[in-house]
This record gives sequence, C-alpha cells and structure tokens, in this order.
Amino acid sequence: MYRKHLATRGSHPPTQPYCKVSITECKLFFTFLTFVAACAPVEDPTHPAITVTDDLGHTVALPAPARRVFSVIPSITETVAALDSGVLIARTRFDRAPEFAHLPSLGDGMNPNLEALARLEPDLVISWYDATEQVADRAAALGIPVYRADVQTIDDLRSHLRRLGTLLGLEERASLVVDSLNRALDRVAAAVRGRDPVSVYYSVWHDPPQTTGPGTFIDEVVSLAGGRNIFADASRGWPLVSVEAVLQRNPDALVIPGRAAGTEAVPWLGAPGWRELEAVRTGRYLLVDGDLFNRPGPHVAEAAAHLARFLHGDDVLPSAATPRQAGDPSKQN
Amino acid sequence: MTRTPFRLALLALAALGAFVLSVSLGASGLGPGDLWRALSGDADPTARTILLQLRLPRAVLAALVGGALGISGCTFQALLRNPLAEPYVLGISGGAAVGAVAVLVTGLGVAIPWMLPVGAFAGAIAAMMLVLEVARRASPARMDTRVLILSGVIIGAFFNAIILLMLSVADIESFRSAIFWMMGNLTGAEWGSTGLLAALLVPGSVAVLSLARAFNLLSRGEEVAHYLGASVQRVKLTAYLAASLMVGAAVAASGVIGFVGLIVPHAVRIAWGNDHRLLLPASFLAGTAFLLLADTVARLVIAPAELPTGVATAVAGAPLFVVLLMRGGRR
Repeated sequence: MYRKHLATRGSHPPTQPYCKVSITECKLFFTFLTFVAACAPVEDPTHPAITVTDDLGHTVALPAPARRVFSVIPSITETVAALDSGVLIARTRFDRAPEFAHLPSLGDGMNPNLEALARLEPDLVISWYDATEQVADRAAALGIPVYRADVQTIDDLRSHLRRLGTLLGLEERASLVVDSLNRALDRVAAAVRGRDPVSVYYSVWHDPPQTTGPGTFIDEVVSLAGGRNIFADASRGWPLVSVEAVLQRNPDALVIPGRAAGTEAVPWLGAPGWRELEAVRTGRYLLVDGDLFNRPGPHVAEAAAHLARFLHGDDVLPSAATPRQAGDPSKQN
Repeated sequence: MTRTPFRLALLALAALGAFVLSVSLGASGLGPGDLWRALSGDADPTARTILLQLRLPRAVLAALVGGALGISGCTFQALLRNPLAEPYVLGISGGAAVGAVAVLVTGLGVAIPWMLPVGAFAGAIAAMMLVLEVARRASPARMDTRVLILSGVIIGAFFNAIILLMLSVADIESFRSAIFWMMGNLTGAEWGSTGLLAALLVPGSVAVLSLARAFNLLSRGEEVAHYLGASVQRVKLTAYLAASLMVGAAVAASGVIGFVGLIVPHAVRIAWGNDHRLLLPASFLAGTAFLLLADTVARLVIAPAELPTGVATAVAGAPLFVVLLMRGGRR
C-alpha cells in the first residue's frame, strides 16, 4: 500500500493540493479505517506477516520480508550486510567500506536526502531510536516502515542481528552470524585469559577530550582484549574528561581511533598534559581504524582481536583474521 | 579619587587570591599542600605535571583573558556610549570564529595544532579592519559610533552565517570541536598564544588607561568632549584599535568567553561610579578575578569532566549581574 503511495509521489509531484477535505474529516476517515482494520479477520492478506518490536517500543510490521533497506546507522548497515548485503539500496557518507561503494550515498545520517530516498522505494528504513529523529518521522509519514535502533552494547548487537534477521526473513542466517560472533569473541577472551589487564585510555575525541565509560561496547571490547578502561567508573557512557584526570589515572596504553591504522605521529599528543603521559612518552599508543572500532557492528570481534594483539603481543592470537583496511583518508567525508 | 588606590589594591588582592585558588583546586584532588611541594620540588612527577604544566598555564591564561575582556569591555562601553556594548559587539568574535572554525573543519587544527589560535587571530584582525573600513566610508568626516555599531553588528551577522555554512558541511568530530571552541574554554592553554596575549595586553592596556580622562569627557557627548579639549577622533580610533587587538588576542587564546566583558565593567560601575580612571583598571582586575573563579568552577563542577569556561561565566554571571543591578537601583 505504501509502495503505491510512494510511487505516485515520486514520479508525479503534485501540482495541486492533495486533499480538499478538512483535517477533521480526514481524522474521521482514518478512525473509520482503523475500525475496519480491527474488525478484519486474522487471515486477511493485508495483515502483516512479520512483526518485531524496535528500541523505541514501536511494533514494526511488514507484509513480507524486507528486500529494499536503507539504514542511517553505520553499525546497523554493516549488521544488515552481514545478513544479506543485497538488500541495501543506499548508504550514508559514513559507510566508507569498499563493499558499499556501489550504493548511492544519500548524504549524512542525520539529514539524508529524503527525496532521493523516497525515489529508491525502500520497504524498511532503519534510524536512530531518538524520538526526535527527523529521518524516522519523515519516512513514517511517507508510509515506509521504520525500525528505530539503539546500539550500546555487544548484547544489543546480538539482539539487532536476531530482530533484523526476522525482518529480512533470514532467522537461520542470523543465528549463524550470532554464533560465529560469539565464537570469535570467546577466542579473544580465551587468548588473554590469565594475563594482567593493561589499563587503557580510549580517546573517542581529543578536543574536548572524550572517552568511553561503563556499559558501552568499547568498554566491553577493551575488557575482552585484556585491557581495563581507566574510566570504567564514569557515570556516563561517553563522558567528557579533563587531561588532568587522564594524567592522574596514568594509563598503560592509549587507543586512538582515527581514519588510518598504524602508529604514526598524532599531533595533539604533543600538547601539554598529553605529552607528559607515560604511555605517550614510551610510545605505547595505537592509532586504530575508527570505522572498525567505533562501531558496534559485526566486526567487533576483529577490533577486540586487534586490540588484544596490541596490548599483549602478536603471539596471543597467531591466526586471527586480518584486520580490515582503513578507509582511504582522501575520501573522508 | 583618594580611595582609588585602596580599591585597586583590594581588587588586586582578590585577583591574587583567585589565582592561588585556581592553581590549588582541580579534578585530581591535588590541593594547596601539593602546590607547595611541587614548587619546592619534592612532589611526584604526575603531581608536578598537573600543577605546573596544566593548571599554572591555564590560570595565567584565565587571568590575562579575564583582564583583557574586562578592560576592553569597559573601553567599548565608553567608546560607543552604549550600555549593551561588550568586547564582541563589533564582530571581532565572529571574525575570530570564522578563522577558528575554518581551521577546525578543514582538519588543519588536528594536523597543526598552533593553526587554531593563528587562524582565530587572523580572523579577528580581518573583522576589525573590515568594520573600521565600512564605518569610515559610511561616515568619512568623523567616525560615527552609531555607524560603527551598525557595521559591526551586520558584519558579525554575516560571519555567523559563514560559520553556520561551514558547520553544516563539517564532520561530527570537528563540529563538536568548533561548538566547544565557540563556547569558550581555556583547556588549550599553552605558552604561545598566552605570550601573544600578554604582548598585546600590556601596550593595549597602557593605551586605553591613558585615555581614561578623555573617556570621562566623552561620556558627556562628543561635542562637549571636543570643546573641553579632547581630540575626539584620535581618542576613538586609539580606543577602537587597542581594545580590538586585546579582544582578538584573548579570543585567539581561549575562544569566545561571553559575559565577562559585559557585566564586569557594569558591576564595577554600579559599585564605584563612572570615573574611568578607576573604572578601567578595576574592570581589568575584576575581570581577572571573575574569570579565574569561573574557570575553577568549570573545572570542578562535573569533574572528572569539564564545563566550557564560557558556560560557567554565563551561568554564574547573569544572576550575579541581576543582583547587582537591583541593589544599584535601590541605592
């Protein structure tokens, strides 16, 4: 139903007012429709075949498995791709991995081009869970089912894999992906078991200094990899901190997500406070691919393995999968 | 006038106290005792680093920025004879912000950290020249301060539009950095931009202080001031350039810290009257004390995180000012 509605809007922009009836009349009409729908028998062919509950508590109902999906959340885009990359019809400019290069970009995730989106006729849009999210509201107004997601922990990721599996009609595939994720994470945890945890400062951003607190997937990845997040006692998931507090907690190692992996120089580490850190003076900091580390997607186990090798030496995980290539810096945004 | 030295000494003492307090308090719980040990050399290296590499430069910067904003705010109020005048009213902060945001959005700020203050200062100077040129062409015979305000406001509005344009295409990280910079914060205190500020603050303050008597005449109107022997055009131009340079250097070092330059001169005026021979130096010292205290609060209130200093000055400053205003009215 919504598809037909969309097609009309997409190909023939209305030159006349849509509706000459008053709002009250429209409301009455829709109330009537709702009533009719409620009375309809369960076997009615228009009754949705698939329903899941999203993170805002809304029921997402689909008549058939979604085949045309757009996600504004990079980690969820990767999660969908892990189930079936063929269903993605567009990407945002933050989906920089080569596997998405062939998809049209609709701009940034906060404010994608809605007209272009409508033209692509998606049958499922995945958006942030904030009730204020404009993309979700606009897509819902266009009649497109919207799945609103919040991804904070690795458990959230597992839950999304399963629910998205249902929405795509790929429950079995989703179970397999969850199992292999669990195995990969267990492998990392087993490799560093019994080793002394290395205290880690994870630099989400340096100006203002922001790190990760308890209850985030990064906090979990650090622990899994045999590290100890020095701000695990913070009150929030993504606290702003002062350089003074970092200095006092004196981390053994720094992890700095950026656009390119490696250990080349980071200019801001030369600023007062940072340059006095022992981990900086001894060169114990690691520049990692932000697209890999900052996303609670199906590649978290790769991030954990990469971090475990940095913290405890390459020999802890000899045959691990090779980390993904960092995004091409010339293409950033 | 006889009480002037006493009052200035009182303010200087308050500023000194605020300075010691600012260095003694912080997120890591190191106190005055640690400060003494760090200075005498028998503290552990981390404590020494925190006190001498982080807190001390920051307190020095806060003191200088507060002074610069206080005295230049007072100067702009005298020059424009407008109670709403403050250091940023003539578009200098807008120009500095365009420079700073451009550096941040292009990623230059990450690659070359010192480009940030340089870009901001260049933007401030450009804004200062532009506003002056527009005002001169609009009123060639004499620099009309009403034209100066109008051209400052409109050029400031244009700069804001440019900033919004740049922010709307910025990536999320540089967007945050830019917003934080515009709120004003002293986190990035380092000796380079502090040195530039000090180098401009000394001659700027001396120049402005030498105009104190002329400002007193000017407050009776330009014509009256002219007949009473002030060379009005020279006074206005000197005041504008000196105050603008001080504000530009302050903004380059710390971003746009609001409220100090507006309320500190007013507070001093409400308390001690409108004689610029007292008002100008008192605004400097009170600005210093106020910003040191506000920054200390900003560093402590949500520790281990920090508020942007500009947020603390606004939150503390506005209610404080309302109280002063009401007490002044009762007198």
